[in-house]
Amino acid sequence: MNFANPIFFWTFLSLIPLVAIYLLKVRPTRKPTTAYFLWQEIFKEKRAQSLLHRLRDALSLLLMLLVFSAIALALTKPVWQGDDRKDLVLLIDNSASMNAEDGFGTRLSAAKKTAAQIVESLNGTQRCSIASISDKVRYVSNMTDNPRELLNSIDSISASHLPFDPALLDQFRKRQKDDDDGESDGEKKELDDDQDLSKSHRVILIGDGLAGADISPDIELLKIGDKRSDNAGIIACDLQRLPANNRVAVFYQLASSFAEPIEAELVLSFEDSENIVKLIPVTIDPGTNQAAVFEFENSDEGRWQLTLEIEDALAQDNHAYLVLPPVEPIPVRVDAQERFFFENSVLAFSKSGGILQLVDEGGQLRICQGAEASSESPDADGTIAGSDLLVFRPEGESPWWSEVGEEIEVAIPRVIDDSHPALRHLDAASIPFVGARRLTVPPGAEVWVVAEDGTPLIYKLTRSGSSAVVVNLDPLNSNFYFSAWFPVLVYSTAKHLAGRTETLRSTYTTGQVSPVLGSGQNVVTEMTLPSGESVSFTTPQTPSMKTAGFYQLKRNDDSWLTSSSLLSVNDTLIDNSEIKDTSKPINRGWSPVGLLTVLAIAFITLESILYQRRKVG
Amino acid sequence: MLTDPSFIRKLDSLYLLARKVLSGSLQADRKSTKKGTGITFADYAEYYLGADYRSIDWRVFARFENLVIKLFEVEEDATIYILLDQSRSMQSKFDYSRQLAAGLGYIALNCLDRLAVYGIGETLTPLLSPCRGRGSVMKFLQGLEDSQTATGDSQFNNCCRLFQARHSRRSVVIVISDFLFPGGFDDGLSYLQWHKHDVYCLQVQNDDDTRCDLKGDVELECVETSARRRMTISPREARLYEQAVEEWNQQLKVSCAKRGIGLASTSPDVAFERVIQDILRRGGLVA
Repeated sequence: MNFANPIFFWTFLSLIPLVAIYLLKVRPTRKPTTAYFLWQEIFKEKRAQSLLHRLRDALSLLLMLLVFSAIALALTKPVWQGDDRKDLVLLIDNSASMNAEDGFGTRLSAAKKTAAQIVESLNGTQRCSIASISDKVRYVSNMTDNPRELLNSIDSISASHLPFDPALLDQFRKRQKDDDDGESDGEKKELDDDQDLSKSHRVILIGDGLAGADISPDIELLKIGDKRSDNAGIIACDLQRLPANNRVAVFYQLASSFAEPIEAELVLSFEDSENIVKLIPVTIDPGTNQAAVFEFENSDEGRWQLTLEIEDALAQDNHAYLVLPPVEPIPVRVDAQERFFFENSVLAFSKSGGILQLVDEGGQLRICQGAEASSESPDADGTIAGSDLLVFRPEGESPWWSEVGEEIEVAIPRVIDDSHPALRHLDAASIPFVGARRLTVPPGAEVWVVAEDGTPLIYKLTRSGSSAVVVNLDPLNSNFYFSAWFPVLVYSTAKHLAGRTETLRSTYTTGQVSPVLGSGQNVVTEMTLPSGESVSFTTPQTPSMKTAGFYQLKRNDDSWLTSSSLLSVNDTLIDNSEIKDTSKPINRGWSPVGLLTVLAIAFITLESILYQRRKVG
Repeated sequence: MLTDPSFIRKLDSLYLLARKVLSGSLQADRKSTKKGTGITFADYAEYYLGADYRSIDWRVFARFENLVIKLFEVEEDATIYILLDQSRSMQSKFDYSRQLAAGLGYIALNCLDRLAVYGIGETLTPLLSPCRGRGSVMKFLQGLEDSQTATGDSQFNNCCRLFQARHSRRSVVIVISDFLFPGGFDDGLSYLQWHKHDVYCLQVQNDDDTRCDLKGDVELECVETSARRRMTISPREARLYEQAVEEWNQQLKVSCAKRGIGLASTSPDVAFERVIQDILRRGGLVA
């Protein structure tokens, strides 16, 4: 045991006057009595207690000596040997797996209790900060030595439905090192992997350790949940319409941490009508099970739920919240001369999932070639009424280009933004841009692919009311109709111009974001959470969906559903009996100072009882 | 002064009453079993040789021709002995006890009874030699005034034995004490009744005797023997003490009742007048 203030050992000298004062104090007052002989009878009855009575004064003195000694020792601020008292960073795992019940409450409550014990052991000189960790690290307390603030911070950590991201630990370690460098040198430095994080901090992850081998050596794992936890759950799930018939397929995958295969039931229900549609008995083997698919005849759009009916440690992973979106094909009209190829490219996506629909009139998108793009001229106010355009082989006068020159040879097209949603599935650099012409684009055009000389090859231009994607090549001369990229380009462009670049999944993992349907910037989207609360945002993606359940979104006149489910194998296979606790010894519970203080209070309470006994009887 | 003159005048109207007819050497206000030359007719008896012929009832002779003589009750005086406890345990009650003794003795002297006062301590101490008549009042009061509590352990039984040895003639004995005698009181009361004395006990105890207000660690000291002992007094011990005192007083009550001894208990909180007028009147000591 070390002592932070050994100078206070001198306070032990106070024991000498204490003994002197106490000996004077315990002399009782003399009281005359007229019936002493009657008291003698009572003395006889109390003779059995006389030994205790004689020892009581000595016991009182001993207790007072202990009280003073405890106080004097507490003033020296003793520290347990072996605890280097570095600043602590307590990472409390509040991922979904920490909601698992192990008979005495959840793992999270056990982790918080352990963290509280560590905080209680701080002696006022050691600092600590608290952070929760699941999908990201969230600091709930700055580095402080105030135990009350730290305990309040621990209390504020609540359970989440979020899966644990093991990569966060490495990120956290790197960031912590950066912070250390910044603190020491006054500015941020590049990451130095050789630096030992443990020199300045002691980082302890308090959790079930399901991150496994990904835990950094600089971070100690204080494992929670020694008892084997039996759990089974859904780790993957999808719900999709099957093409060409009125059937829906459900893909699912189960996992189990039970030691033996177990029998359970999968229940598929349509939440909007609260009808059970399918009930499947399943046998779940230990570990990750083979994925399976089942079909059923129903195509009702809306909320679906796949539930694994089983009594286990974790309830969140027994539910998958699924959304079956409505069928809304994009009407496409072909105004080109070589209609065959264009129409077939549209029909291909019409039969598969009904994404595109070939129409003869109107349409949300019009595919055309050359001067046909000029058939709809802007109005007097500059507005171009009608459909969006996908234009091949630009020529002649058009509001979508300024002037068209001679044909050029394109050797190596350059993709300016290959992550653009419209080009995401397209290898634009491999397209032979035969028949491309030198042309000038109007101001405001969004050029995606250019030739070596800067001639735009694929660009998008938006005028008030309409947009057009211009593909600067001759599809007939370049045999582009026979290229695999032709239908892809038609499909991607159609979806992009229709504002449906992003395809919604039937469900997202908790913590993920969902794309927002529709185009346009700074348009407010309102999202209603499973709890009933609403949030508004203008970003092209929703905020992180932290809670499992259904989310209702509304943007302008459009509204749609999305959902999130736990679907995390790490949080379903929660048996951590094989995981080793890597934490070094650390004080928990009372610090030596606190312990001595409590002892002093206990001793003084005992002495008070004896004093009361002496004074009041 | 031990007694207030105005109150003494009130005592004049009281009459000391012995429950038994006592014998005495001088004629006084008190009835006796003797038949003699009193004024109150008692009975007839046949004339015998040597009888006083003045007591022959000639009316009866005229009617029945038998000589009978009239017998009259002889009214005699009584001897009152007051035994005043002078032990240290009476320190806080001694003035009150002296007032009681003075009141009773004053009544006795006013009724022409013989009065003697003794102090009870380690031994029997005469405080007032036997005397009679109103002329002895000042001497009696002065004797009480000069008396003090004595040191040493009180020996009630020994004192009573001495009294029994000295006074064999039947008389009224009034004991004024707290009766907290370590050696008990049974033997003493028996000695007092040895010669058929009419014994009357006047127990004087105050709250310090009957209640225990002590708490915690104390060193108890006997006021008579100065014996000391350290003790922790809890409510339980205080309750035990009060029970012991209560049982002690109950034993005294039973012992007196068994012996036909009158007993009255009082405390200094009760006014002296009330004791004389109420308690003693109900107890039969005064009329």
